[in-house]
Order: sequence, then structure tokens, then C-alpha cells
Amino acid sequence: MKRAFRNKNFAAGFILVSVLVVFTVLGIFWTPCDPLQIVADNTLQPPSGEHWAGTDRLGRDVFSRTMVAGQTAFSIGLITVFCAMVTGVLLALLAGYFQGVVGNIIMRFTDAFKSIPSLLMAMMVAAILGRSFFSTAVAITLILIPQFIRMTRATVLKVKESEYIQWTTLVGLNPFRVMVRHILPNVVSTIIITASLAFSEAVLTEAALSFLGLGIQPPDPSWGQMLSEGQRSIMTAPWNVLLPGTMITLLVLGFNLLGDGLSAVLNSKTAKEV
Amino acid sequence: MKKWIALLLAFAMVFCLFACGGGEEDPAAGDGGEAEGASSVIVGIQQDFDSLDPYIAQASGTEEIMLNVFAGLLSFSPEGEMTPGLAESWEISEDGLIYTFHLREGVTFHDGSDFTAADVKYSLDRLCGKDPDEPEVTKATFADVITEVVVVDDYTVEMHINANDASFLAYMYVGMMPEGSGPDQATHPIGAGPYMFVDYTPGMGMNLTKFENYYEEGLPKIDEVEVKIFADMSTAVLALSNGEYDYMTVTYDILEQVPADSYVIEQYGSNTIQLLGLNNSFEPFQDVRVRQAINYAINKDDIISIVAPGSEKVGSNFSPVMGFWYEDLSDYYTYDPEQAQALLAEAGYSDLTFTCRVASEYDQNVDAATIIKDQLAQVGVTMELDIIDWNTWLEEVYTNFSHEATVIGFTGKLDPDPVLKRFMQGYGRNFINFDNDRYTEIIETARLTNDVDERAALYKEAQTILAQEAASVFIQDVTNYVAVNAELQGFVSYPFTFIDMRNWEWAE
Repeated sequence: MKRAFRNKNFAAGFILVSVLVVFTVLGIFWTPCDPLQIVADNTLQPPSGEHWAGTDRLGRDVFSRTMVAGQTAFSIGLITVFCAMVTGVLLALLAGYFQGVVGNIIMRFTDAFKSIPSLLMAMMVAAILGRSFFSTAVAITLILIPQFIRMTRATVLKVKESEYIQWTTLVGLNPFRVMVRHILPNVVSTIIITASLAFSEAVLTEAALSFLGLGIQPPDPSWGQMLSEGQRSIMTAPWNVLLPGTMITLLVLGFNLLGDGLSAVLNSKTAKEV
Repeated sequence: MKKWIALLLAFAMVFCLFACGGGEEDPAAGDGGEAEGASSVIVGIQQDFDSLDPYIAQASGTEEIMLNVFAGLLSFSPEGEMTPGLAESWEISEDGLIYTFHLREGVTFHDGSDFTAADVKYSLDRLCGKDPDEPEVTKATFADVITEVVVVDDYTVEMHINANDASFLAYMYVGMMPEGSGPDQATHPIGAGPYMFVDYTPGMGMNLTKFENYYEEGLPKIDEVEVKIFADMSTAVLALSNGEYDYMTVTYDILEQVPADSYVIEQYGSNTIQLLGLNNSFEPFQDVRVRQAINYAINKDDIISIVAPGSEKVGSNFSPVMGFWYEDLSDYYTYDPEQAQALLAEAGYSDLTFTCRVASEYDQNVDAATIIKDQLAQVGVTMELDIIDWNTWLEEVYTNFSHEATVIGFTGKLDPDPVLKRFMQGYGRNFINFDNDRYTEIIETARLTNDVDERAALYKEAQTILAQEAASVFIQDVTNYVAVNAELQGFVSYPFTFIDMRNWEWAE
């Protein structure tokens, strides 16, 4: 662990993400104002002691909304990355181990899915399932699955060539046991790195969808939606977009740094062990 | 040798680029008053056309533009009075059952054909569903009233109606179309209005050009009008600051960003009632106490001050713009959360939950719904928002009545009958499902009453019933703000959605 922090990328990413996590978790228990409270004679106020980041066009506190919107971002990120990871890794193990018909089918489907632009995919899901937290999560999960499959499968293929795995086939061990007990532990580092990068993509996609009105629906706050609402008054009330915009940037930056750092740390570690 | 060819090719390409560039520099017909050639105006609208055929279209956002392409037997003044249009004069028989219209002579349609009594008969027969080729094109407001259209001579038409109907003339602004043109109207509308249809791109907009033979002498003044659909207010703000539009309806929250040196903001009561429509057949809303409770729980002043400051608060489905018929009920329910909670407890719905469907295209309605959600939460009522697109709204809410509540604007008409009829039993668009025998009786009686004072008294009673029974929550007559290019003159506002382009002209 200590060695990991010597990697600058990892350290910076870890600190950034931790700060944001604290900020968001704090929002569950305490916000300076009620994030949904509408105050009629208090619209588009500049930052002040009472409203640290000003108010939006319905008189709601921007700072509190940003905190609560963080929960949306993190929960979307966690849920979608987890779902995509489980499905993706499962399919990748199958595709990697059974390279014949099964592997081919899975990989061609992956290619087909990957070729659909992510926004189009999200619009399709929104058209079928309506616009809600659930449909946003489904859309982002679908967008993320292919990269888990591809990354994991590549490592599985490499591991599969090693002698001890070849030996299991010779002895005739149950293939599923081999996958879980012997291959999976070797691809964990790949999965972690992919997950970290996928997290930032999930947050970014959610922001983009909400910005376009396809994601999280008002009045529940989301950074992307706050950006889109604040955009029309950007000249007169820039504080409406400044904070949520910064948060998106920091979160994405944090997870990307974390992913880069992790990949450097984990790869050097495995290299040494071998 | 190769070098020479390469050089030659390079020259050819550069030449091509110059040629293209030159083409673009041609003085575009736009750009306001300075252009020496054709004058043009660009109008920004927020929603797409639901149909180009005015007999099929339902949205007032479509009508506000298409009234420039079509002309009716009658026209109307900015005060809402009926004035001569394609008919120069008219008479009403003593029993009120026969209307005789004397048509203007020498009027032509955009396709060059003469306007005669046969066209009037064709148009109204089509509206009444009597055209054997297109029986599906039917507007009940005409089909239920007109029994027969008789061509007396080329320039005289008689209309027989089934019962005395005081509101009949107010419908006669409906656009006339040339005989047999019906099936093509949805792709290429042809009328006798001041502007001719040029082309239409779904989602993008429409081009109109001046009709030289328009019957009103000297009108219209502008040669070309381009109607552009903008996706949302935020892109519209940018477009306005670039001077991309000459005329555009804007919402209150962006007023400050409209460049004050190049635009004038016109403000007028739109005769559009914004309401939280409660589906009276949804189980909790069958109880009048629940509907009243919702009325007490909503602070209309707050909504107005955020969404459209300057708007008139209303208490029924009627706008003060139509002063003569208007009954002031704006304070019928004063904001009183405790009373609301008491009523809800009495009705056994203290933890009421319902879903409100709102069309995402209309920011004012989405904002109002967001505020209402917050206000209702304070009395323990949970209102979920279901944001849908406008076409889904038209199909689900307006046509299938599939909703528990909705926030929408009811556009005004020239006569109280179509405005208040929306709540009548058996009316095909009563998606509020308001069910009141006395109300229906009043609307039916008023239609047959020729004495205006008597008629006004009846409509005032109808408005009172809507308030008493808390049919819905009537919020405000939304103030319209229009950003008009400061150089563009001739702005006229009407008590209903109509962008009158006839008098526009560029300042010298």
C-alpha cells in the first residue's frame, strides 16, 4: 500500500476521489439548505453567507443541490460499474475459455454493441423504458459491458496459455472450477483498472444524458441537469454551472488518475512476482 | 512532368475553393432592413408542427403560424371581435338557423384558382366529415353544428345549422381551401392567406413567401418569412444574442439575457390558462375535498413570481383578457396549508400520492410542476413527475386521457364557448373528466342564448362552478413575452395564439 502511494497518479487520484466521497457522504446527513426547497423571492441570487454557491432560477440552494447530486453520480457509478463488471467478467471468462462457437458468439455480440454510439444507445433505452434513474442505469450498464468483456478476455487468453492451466485441462478438472479458482484471481487487477476507468465514464455519460434531458428527471438534482438548467443564465448567473461543472471535472479526473496509477502499481507488482 | 500535373491540380483546387466561397457571399435575402432586395424576417418557435393541414392540426403552436397561410370567411380584430374576411358581409335569419355570407369577389388562392362559394362548401363539408374521400378529417365543433352548406350563387353561401348557436360566427375564421385540395394540404398547404407555403423540414422549420394577390390591399409588407424551430430556450438565448431571430416568444428567466439594444420585449396577457389538471376520474380526485385540498395547498403567487412575473392570477378556466365574460375568482382559494391538510385528513387521503405528466418542451409547465411538487410535499402529498415529450403528451393525455394529473396551458379562443366547453360531459377533449350536470346544462344553454348579457351571466356561473367544484387548479393567465427585433415594426397582439405577420415592416 505504501508503495502504491509513491505513484503520483495514484496518490493524486486517491485523494481527489476521497475528498469527493466525503463531500457526497456528508450530503446524506447534512446540507446547508434543503436542496429541493423552492423560495419564490430568492431566485438567481449570487453566492452569499446563506447560500454558499448562490441559488438557481427556482430559488434553490446550488451548494446543497450539488452535494445531493453527488449521491446521484456516485450511485449511478457504483451500480452500473458493478452490474457491468459482473456480467462482463462472466461473459469474458466464458469467451476466453471456450474459444470456439461460444466465444465467437459472445465476441461478435460485443462488437455489435460496442459499435452503437453510447448516446444513441441511451436514447434507445430511454425510448423503451421511459426517462428515470432506472433507465439511465440500464443504459450506462449496457454501454460499459463491452469494455469489461474485451479487457478481461484479453487477460484470460494470456493466462490460459500458462502451463498450470493447460495442466488442469489434461487432468480433466471441471472447466467452471478452473475459471473461478484459477483464472479469475489472475485477471482481478485488470478488472480493477477497467472498473476505475469505467466509473469515470459512467459519471460522464450520466451527466451528458441528464444534460440532454434523457437522464435523471427534475426535481431530483444531477450535475448534468444542473449544467443544462444553469446554461441559459450562464451570462447573468455563472454560479449555477460553476460548481456542478467543477465537480464533474474533478470526479472524472480523479478516477482516471486512479485508474492510471492502479495500472502502473498493479502491473509492476505482477511483473515482480512472476 | 509529374510536378506539373500536381501544380495544375493544386491550382484547380484553389480555384474551386474560390468559386465556392464566391457563391456564399451572394447577398442573402435576409439581414433585415439593409437588404435592398427582398425583405425577410426570421421567426423562432418552440415546437414542431403537428400537421400542416389546419383541419387536422390540433396544437395552437401550429395555428399561430398557419393562420398566416389561410384566410377564413371572417377575420378578427386584436380585441377579439369578428370582422369581415373573405366574406364581405353576412346575415343571420330570424330564428338564428341560417347564416348567409356574401363573399368578396376577385380573391384567388395561392394556386391561382378563384375563390368562390364552391370552395366554401368544399371546405366546410370536409370539416364536417362529409367529403367521401376523407371522412376521417372531422372537427366535431363543425360537424355537430352545421347541417348543410348551400351554394346560392358563385359569391353567396348559406349555412344551415341545427340549433341557434351564439358562438357560431367565432368559428368562421377557419381557413378556406380550394375545392379538391384536401389530400395535399398536409404536404403542401394552399390557402388564401397573406403568406404562401414554400417548404417545410420536420424538426427544422418552414419557409413562407409573400402572396402577391392577397385580398387586403398593400399587405403583407415583408417578402419572406422563415419559421425556425429551436430545440430549447438555452440554445435560443445564444441564437438571440447572435441576432439569429427577429421574432421569438421567450420565457421570463431569459429576459435579462436578451440583448436590450437590438430587441424590444413586448408583453401581453396571452389568454392562456395554465392549470394543474386533475383527472377527476382518478380515484382520490373523485372526492371534491381532495381537489379542494390541492387548491388550498398551492401558492399561485409563488408560481407566478418565479415562472412568469406580471401574469394575472386566475381562479377558474378563464382569462381576464376576455373582460366581458370574465368572473373574478382569483381569490376563491387562498393559500392555506392547514386547511389543505384538514381536508385531506377528512377525506382519508393524508398520504396521497399521484403522478403528474408534463411535456418536456414547455419549460413554464415543467417549472410550475416542479414548484407544485415542492408545495404539495409540505402538506404531505407526494406528486411524482413524469416528464414526457409533446407528442406522447398529445397521444396519452389529450387523446387517451391516460393521466392522473398534468400541467398544461389551455389556449384561449375568441368565444367563451370553446374555452369552457373543455370541461363539459361528453366533450371529446375533456381529459380532466370533469363531470357536472349543471355545468354541462349551462354550456349547452349559453350556446343557444342570443342575448349577450344573459349569455355572459351563464358563463360566469359556469366559471364559478369550476372554482367551487375545484375541477382543477387554475393558476394563471400566462403573460407572453416576445423578443422583437428593435427595427421590426408592426407588432400586434391578440387574445389567442396568433403571430400576425401582415403588418410587419422594417424601419427605414
